[in-house]
Amino acid sequence: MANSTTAKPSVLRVVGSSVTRVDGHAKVTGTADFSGDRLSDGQLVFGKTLRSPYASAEIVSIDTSKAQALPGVHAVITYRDAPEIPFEAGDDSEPTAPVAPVYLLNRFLRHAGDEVAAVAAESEAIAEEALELIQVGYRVLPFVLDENDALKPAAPSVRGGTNLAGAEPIDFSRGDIARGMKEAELVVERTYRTQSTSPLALEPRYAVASWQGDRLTVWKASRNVHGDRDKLARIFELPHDQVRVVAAYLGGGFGSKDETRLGHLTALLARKAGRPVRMGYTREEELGFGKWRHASTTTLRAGLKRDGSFTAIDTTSTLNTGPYAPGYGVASRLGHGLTYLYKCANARFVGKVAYTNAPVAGSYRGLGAPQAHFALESFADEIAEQLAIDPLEYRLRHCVGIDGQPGVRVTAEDELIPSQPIEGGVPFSSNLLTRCLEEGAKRIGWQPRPNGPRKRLVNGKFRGMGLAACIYKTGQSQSSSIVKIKADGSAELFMSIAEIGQGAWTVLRQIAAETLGVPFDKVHATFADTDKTPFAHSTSGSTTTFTSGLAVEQAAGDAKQRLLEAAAKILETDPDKVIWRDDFVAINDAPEIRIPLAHVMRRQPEQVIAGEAKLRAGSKSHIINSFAAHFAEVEVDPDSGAVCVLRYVAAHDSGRIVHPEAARGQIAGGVVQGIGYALMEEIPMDPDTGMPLTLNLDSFKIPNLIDTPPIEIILVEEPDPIGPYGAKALGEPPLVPVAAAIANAVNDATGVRIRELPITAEKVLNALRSLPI
Amino acid sequence: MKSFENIDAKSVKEAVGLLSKFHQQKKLAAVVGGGSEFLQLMKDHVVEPDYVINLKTIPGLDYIREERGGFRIGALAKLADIEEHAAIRDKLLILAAAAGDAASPQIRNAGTIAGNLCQRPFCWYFRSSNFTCLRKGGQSCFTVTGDGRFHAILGAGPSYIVHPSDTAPALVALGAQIKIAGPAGEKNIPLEKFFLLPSVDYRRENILNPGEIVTEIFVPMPKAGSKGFHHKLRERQAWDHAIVAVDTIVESSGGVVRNAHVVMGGVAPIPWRATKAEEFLRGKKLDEASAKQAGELALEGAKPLKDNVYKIKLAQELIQRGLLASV
Repeated sequence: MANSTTAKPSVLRVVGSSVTRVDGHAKVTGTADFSGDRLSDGQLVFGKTLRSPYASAEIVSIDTSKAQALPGVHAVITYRDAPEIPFEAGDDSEPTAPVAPVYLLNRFLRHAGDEVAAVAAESEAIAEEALELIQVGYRVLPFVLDENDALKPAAPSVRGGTNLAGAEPIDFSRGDIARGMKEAELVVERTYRTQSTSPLALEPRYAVASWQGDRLTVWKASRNVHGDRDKLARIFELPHDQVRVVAAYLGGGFGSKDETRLGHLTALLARKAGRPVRMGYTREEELGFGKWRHASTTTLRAGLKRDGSFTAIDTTSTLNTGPYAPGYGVASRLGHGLTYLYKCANARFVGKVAYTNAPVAGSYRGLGAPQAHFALESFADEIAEQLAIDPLEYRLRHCVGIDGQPGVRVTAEDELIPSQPIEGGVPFSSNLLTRCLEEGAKRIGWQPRPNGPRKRLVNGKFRGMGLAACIYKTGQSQSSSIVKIKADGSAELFMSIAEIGQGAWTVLRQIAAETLGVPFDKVHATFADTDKTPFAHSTSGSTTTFTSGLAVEQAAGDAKQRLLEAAAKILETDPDKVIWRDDFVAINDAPEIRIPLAHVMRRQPEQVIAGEAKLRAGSKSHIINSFAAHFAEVEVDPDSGAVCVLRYVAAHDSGRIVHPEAARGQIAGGVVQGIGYALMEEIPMDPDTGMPLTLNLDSFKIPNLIDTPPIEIILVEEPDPIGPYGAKALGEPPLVPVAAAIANAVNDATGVRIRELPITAEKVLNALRSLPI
Repeated sequence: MKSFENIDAKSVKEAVGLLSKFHQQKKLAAVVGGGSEFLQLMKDHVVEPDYVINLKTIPGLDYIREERGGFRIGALAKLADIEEHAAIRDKLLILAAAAGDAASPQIRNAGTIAGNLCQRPFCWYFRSSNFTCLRKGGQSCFTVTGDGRFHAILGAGPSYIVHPSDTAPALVALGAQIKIAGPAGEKNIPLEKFFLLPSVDYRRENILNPGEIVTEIFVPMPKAGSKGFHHKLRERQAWDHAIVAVDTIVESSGGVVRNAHVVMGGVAPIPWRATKAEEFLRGKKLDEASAKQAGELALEGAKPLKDNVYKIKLAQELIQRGLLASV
């Protein structure tokens, strides 16, 4: 881990208090600039995208002359305009096995909604009209939508090679599965399925691109300005410093926001039009083509002792990734969830990422973890029932403890432990899962039920309670930070971190203020502008508070130390005898002798004192993971099968909480998204065309206020020894265990076990009907 | 959305005159009341009129009047006003409940009763600009081989939409009449006869001809000894269409049915009256067995698609529940 140069004070002033969020005022007064709000440039023209009506087709002819001739049209681009540089639909996961290369626009279209062409015009209405004038001849090709069908020998090839991305499955293990199965007293096997869904961020994404000669500037809904800059530079063959990417406020990130072709297509249009272009997604495009959560099929096979302990867990998942950008990261996060929550010496994960002609799947809050936890935590309840053990008791006995998994460390001694290890023999830096389980159970009023579902009827409706545990990585990433102390006693922070609604711009300032010893409102900041802010990886993966928080802490500590050293020189004393208050410095035991900061600064380059940090966060000795236990109480209508969540308790171990109100918001938001995932969200595709069917909010259902129960939040707060001020991850975990907690509650209420999300009234009713009465 | 010209109508006569005029000129004209439905249709490119005739500017068409024989409800009466009307809640509870089950409070504050009855289908193929379905001038109804999990099990073919109105089944159960104004004057017809099966005309959902608009709904006072039931099953608890809805009115005496109206929503292209069940119930004592049999009769002849078989059981049991609650 990074070494902090300052001792952590025992009493915190800023960290741990819910200061007024820095983005709050602008957002509630409507003055915050989101990506689509950049309209000030009078030269701006507007882009629209033509999308494929077929799941798989070849463009045999394309005539854009009528569109180009329409008054007000500035540019039309097709695959003929695309740079001959492979471009894998946005994110960082490149194919590892030979497949047909894909470009920014392609002659072969591989999913319904794939980009065919784009138009820039004086208005969006003219651009839309122009789209209709583009004449395209398609040769319709066979397609495959389902991940399991795609891996069958007869399936049409999506990318010109095998549909198994990478040609070989992901395969990682610890111990020896065969030996573990031999030791088993019983073997249980089940299969679970999860659906495609969309994050449905409140703000549909936009990008604005502007060329000044060979210099390109892109404002966009970006969580990764440096990554976007590098990709733009590569596609347009520009030196990196000729490209500037600036992130506006994001109206929700949820993982999918910047992983599409949008920014690049906008830049290509702008270059051809010779005008700055703004292009965005409609709500339909967001839902259909803004990157989905991977649909998945997971089979779990466990070897068990009679007491419920695992001797082996053998897991296989198949993920539907669509035609581009294989989601290896999604698969491995699925594997981590499956193989690390329960103590088990012998564990294996086989992940098959399948190319299909479904729209592209990508990152969505939690990546594969919600899929994994739905499967594993449903499975744990099924095992507990079979062995007549109360589900809570089962977790308390068998979930992984602070000492980690049994086994032998594989990571070299001088290397950082991965955030999602498979190996055993490494302890956690902190693990309060037991307390999450106990405090959550107490809050919801858990009654032991060792004999399986109780099928209680209350006022004519079934009522039940369920729980699910959660393990999740604290993302360990790369970040850097610059902190400048100014003559007036204020400080400015520079970081490439996006405000995606999670509160990062507030939290990072809190950490700076705490470390510097200045009031919160004395810290100003510039964020996410490649011309101004230093390198950081994507604002994603539940790592911002941890990794970038460590970077801020280190940079602020560095800046403060430099200030004290510079002041000590003038005061002719030791740096540790110097104190800094407001806009002056003084000697500790002679506080009446003050020197204005301005005096110190005058001797510094640029008249500021700057501290800097560049780090790769992590630990060489410990796994840093967050934990949670969720509890749901549900009611099921015996006549319709409809499930209603009555109460919800979410207990989280995320180490020290930097901003309690923001943390509670994250948890409540994650739970609501999880309820939608559990009960109603789904994007079915028309089987004949592959076109998604729920592209509007009347058919794509998310929970309304009335579907949302009271959510009680418990922060089991104990500082982690490694994170900044003891903080661990919180961004993604709140969504991860929700579907399993609800599925388990439905089982307690009805005796019905639904192994395929979403848990619709139809599925519950059909299952209820087939139960013996 | 295509641009259009908006005309504020000042009277029913003017609106009807404009509609007839544009029809003769072969221009596309449409009327708009609350606008919540219409805006979405235009945004989805389902309806792209040259002229939009705004009916909200017609004074006095939003009345709810109680008379001795029943209630007169102006075409522009808002769903929220019907839902909250004290006398309707007292005497036509199933109508108030059905109006209150529609959409969301925001939409009920804008949406009108006539608009609710004249809604276009919410089929995901019909609403999507990616599909040109039978109802939009295409060759086929995509649900036949596609995904029809929310679609019709009764009275369908060649189109498999379900009628989306929440108030229509309640009004049909109550025996409502609808008043239509057109170039030839006004006419009153039973609301039940207002809706069209796709086998008669799959391009429209009701009998309104070009130049005609709905002006009033009349709901007769239920007979003494009548009891109603309304329930809408849906996936989420607000702002969702019915998977199955059931509205019943049972007139009985000493547990014996004199007359029963059983109407379903969400199962057919029109509000579906279960006449066989109604005939069966007449003179029967209403108990578990007869209610169950009525439910089965109501779904006799149902022809589900591959994805909506579950609706049959749902509807049978909901009818059974409704009938038992009606004595």
